[in-house]
Amino acid sequence: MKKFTFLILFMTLALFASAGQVQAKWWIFGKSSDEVTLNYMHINKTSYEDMNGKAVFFKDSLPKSNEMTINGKASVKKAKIGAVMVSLDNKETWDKAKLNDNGTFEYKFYADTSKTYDFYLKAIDTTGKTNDIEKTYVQITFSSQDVSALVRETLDKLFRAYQTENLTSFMSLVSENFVPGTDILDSAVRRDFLLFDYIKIEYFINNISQVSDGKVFVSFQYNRSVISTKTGQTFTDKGMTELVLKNEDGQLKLFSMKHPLMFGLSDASEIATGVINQNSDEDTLVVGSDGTVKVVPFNESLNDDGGDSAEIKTITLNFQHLDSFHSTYDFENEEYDSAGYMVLNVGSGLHLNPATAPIQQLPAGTSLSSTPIPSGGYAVDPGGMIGVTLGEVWAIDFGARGKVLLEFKSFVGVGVIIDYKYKK
Amino acid sequence: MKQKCKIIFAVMIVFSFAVSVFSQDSSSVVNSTTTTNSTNNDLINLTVPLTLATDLTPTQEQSAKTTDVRINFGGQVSYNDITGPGKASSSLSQGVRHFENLGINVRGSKNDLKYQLNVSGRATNDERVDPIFVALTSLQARFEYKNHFLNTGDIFESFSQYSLNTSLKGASYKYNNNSGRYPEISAVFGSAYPRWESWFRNEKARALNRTAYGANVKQEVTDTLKFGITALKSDDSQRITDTDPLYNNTLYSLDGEYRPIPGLSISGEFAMSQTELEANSTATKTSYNGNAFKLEIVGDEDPSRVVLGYERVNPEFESLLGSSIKDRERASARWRYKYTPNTTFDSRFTWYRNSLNDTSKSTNNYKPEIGVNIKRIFDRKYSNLNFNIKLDQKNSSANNSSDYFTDLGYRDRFIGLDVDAGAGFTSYNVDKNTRETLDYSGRLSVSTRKSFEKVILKPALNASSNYIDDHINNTTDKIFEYSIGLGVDLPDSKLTSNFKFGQNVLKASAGDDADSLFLNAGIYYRPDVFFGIKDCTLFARAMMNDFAFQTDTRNFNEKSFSMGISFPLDFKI
Repeated sequence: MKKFTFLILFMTLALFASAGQVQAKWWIFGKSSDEVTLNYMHINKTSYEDMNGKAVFFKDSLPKSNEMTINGKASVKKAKIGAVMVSLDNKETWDKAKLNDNGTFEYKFYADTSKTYDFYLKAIDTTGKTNDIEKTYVQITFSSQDVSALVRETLDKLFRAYQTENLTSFMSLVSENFVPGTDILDSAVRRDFLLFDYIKIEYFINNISQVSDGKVFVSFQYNRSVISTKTGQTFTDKGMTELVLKNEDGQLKLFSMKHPLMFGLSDASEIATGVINQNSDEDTLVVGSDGTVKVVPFNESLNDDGGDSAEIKTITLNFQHLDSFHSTYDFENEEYDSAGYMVLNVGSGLHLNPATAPIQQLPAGTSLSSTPIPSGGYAVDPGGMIGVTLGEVWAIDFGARGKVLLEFKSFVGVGVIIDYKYKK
Repeated sequence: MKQKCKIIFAVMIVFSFAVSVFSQDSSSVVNSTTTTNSTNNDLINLTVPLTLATDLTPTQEQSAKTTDVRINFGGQVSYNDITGPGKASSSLSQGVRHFENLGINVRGSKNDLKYQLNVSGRATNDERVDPIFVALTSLQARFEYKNHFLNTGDIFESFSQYSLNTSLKGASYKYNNNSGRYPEISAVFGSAYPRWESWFRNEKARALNRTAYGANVKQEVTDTLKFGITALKSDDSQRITDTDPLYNNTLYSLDGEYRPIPGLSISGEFAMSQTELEANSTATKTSYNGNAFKLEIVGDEDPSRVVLGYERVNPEFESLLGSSIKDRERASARWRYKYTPNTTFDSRFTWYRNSLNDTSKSTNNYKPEIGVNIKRIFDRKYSNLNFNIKLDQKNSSANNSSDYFTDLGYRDRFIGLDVDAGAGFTSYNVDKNTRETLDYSGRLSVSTRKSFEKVILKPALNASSNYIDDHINNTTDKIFEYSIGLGVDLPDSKLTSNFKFGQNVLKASAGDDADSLFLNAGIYYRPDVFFGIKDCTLFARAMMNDFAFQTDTRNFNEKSFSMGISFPLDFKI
């Protein structure tokens, strides 16, 4: 660990040292005050800064008559912007943009969508100085692909990279703004690759909807099989899921995913930004924190991290364990524990004291065998001891230490018999 | 259900009527006779693509028509054969299976009005594809009139990340005037059903009813400052099982972006939620409020790009239609530095933790990472070297883990062969003797493309291997996979084909060894015109997977042969 830390520290220092040699003022944005700078620019509402020199527009989504609008603002500290010129043919010809006193400009043209435009912008101040023209280059092209074809192409690439376990290729298809964080997905997919072998996924698109800011919502059916590298066992699951792709530099990239996850199952709770709204008993693939791979019904998969047994166990809690009336129990290690998870009190009737742990009561008669441990719905502050009676079913959320679903069955001697299911 | 069907049919009829009205030439007189003729014309015009396909000039009458119709059809029939004692593990359905997709897109304009309708459906008898035999997969109608936009059916309005980032079935309206600094106003109403069959209460697509409505206003205040305000309400009803939680959620969000100087942008969002939860059918309702906040600062000026981010989503924040991971605080920094035009360093650091209300139960995650990418190394035109080191550390009261990842990748072209090679080393460590695993991996891919007079050949070779050493359980798992492929294209004959054969071997010292052989082949014929239809694709595919395990009773073999056709039909009405 220490060696690794030193290595990172050394590389970071080396990077800083070398950075100093190349350009001392790398952190100064906007450079010196007398330069002509481009404050911002949009081409058909897409920010120039998001383009990286390339912009692909879909013919289907262009405004009337393929009208293209370029607007922005140029500025200079010690003078005034005198003109803004636009070239669409690699600087061969220049056309004047409409310029306002404050440096904002607008230029419109009607695109021939069969052409590629090599765009440059030149802002000239009243002393004749110009901006860095080369940096404004954008290659503007038009795609006749409809969005659904592009979605299919993107999903094909994502699934191919995932199935061939090519992490570099896979991560190149993930948006820099991936909601839970690209590095979190990177780690989760790496673990998937360690746990899964011979991944096969087929998908069948249900629905594609797009929005003007470049995001595309995709809902699809999937049919998947993997072999667990630990056990050599084949797991298959199928069902429906949803994800959002985002248009970046003319390419759709993965932006967010809902449960059931297609990628990054090894850290599902940190990757899935929601659950699809369905009630289904379809088998769903899950991975536990200990790397156990299994399939469980979809409704249970929401609460099941797959790693620990969800079997129903029975304990008899002795009220005289701590003192005359109290008992505590550690569900993780299955033992009495003075700093344990749950306190039972039988002073004036049976009481449950979950301390600060969120808790909820389930309907009487709830079957532990057919009911998953709830993932949500816990009252955040139960407010101290709660009176309970035999037959009641309760769920307690111990945070990182797991959740338990329990039923108070009967009294025996100085104790109470409890059936429970525990998940970490 | 009947009522909903009626509503849908009514909407479709109204839309069809609207299309027929708007598609009339302005000189046409709309009366019952004309409408009848129009219907007849529709039938006649179905043959238009066939005549267009033979490159006849469109008639004046056709060019006057302003509504474009595209019908996409794709269908295939498969025969799957699964044998062996472990055939229950197959992901295929035994026997003859069919699969058809039909999509209709209608788009046109009349003066300032633009309209579009998309309807698509799917039929299949393969339950692995879809448990519903005939499904309505998409239904959308869009209208655009000057600065007004109306969407109905499947709608996707992305208000902001925390508030609304999912598709609804309903209607949305947007006012968007680009001619000045006018606010962009959107309103939405709909149900968050995953598919139309859920709306129809189909037993195989059961989902509770999550009705949502809300509005969003986006305003550009100055050239460098813009913000958006959202109010969104969602209300759950029609529980499927007694244990389904029902949420009633109201969410307010404020998001914005500020670009104070060129190259620097500061963006963020703050959202508050008020939630009323009925955890199950007998539970009393509980109420709680939560909030979420995120801020991102991006500095982008050559040679550096720096991204700083912070986000905190508290445990009581509920975003049922947006995207967030609740009960998490995260901070990240990324610095990408272009040392030379061909050498880029990339370093990042992410920290996040959960259980914000009780830090004694938190898991703290630290992820530092550094990498370098060098193009044209050794002055080779196609070379690309990538080296990356990453640490993934988790600390909690239960245990601590430290995973180290090291990757090296190299791409180049040698004597006309594209080579992509990579090697990786990963060390997984969890304390208390829980886990100590080393994973060594390597992959190699070699491919090329050779064009001859009438044939293009695309051979490819892929091989990869993993060696997983588990020090706790004293086991070693070995994985080896290779495949050889060949693509053959005959451009003059409009034929493309591919063939792939490979083997995947898993030697699992603690579990079952697996040895899988696979074979895929496909041939695609894309004639210029096929029975008068343009852009048609005919295909035949064959696939074989043979799974052999150490435990013989798990062995199975699956074979599949499928053939199909897909084509679009374009015409005007």
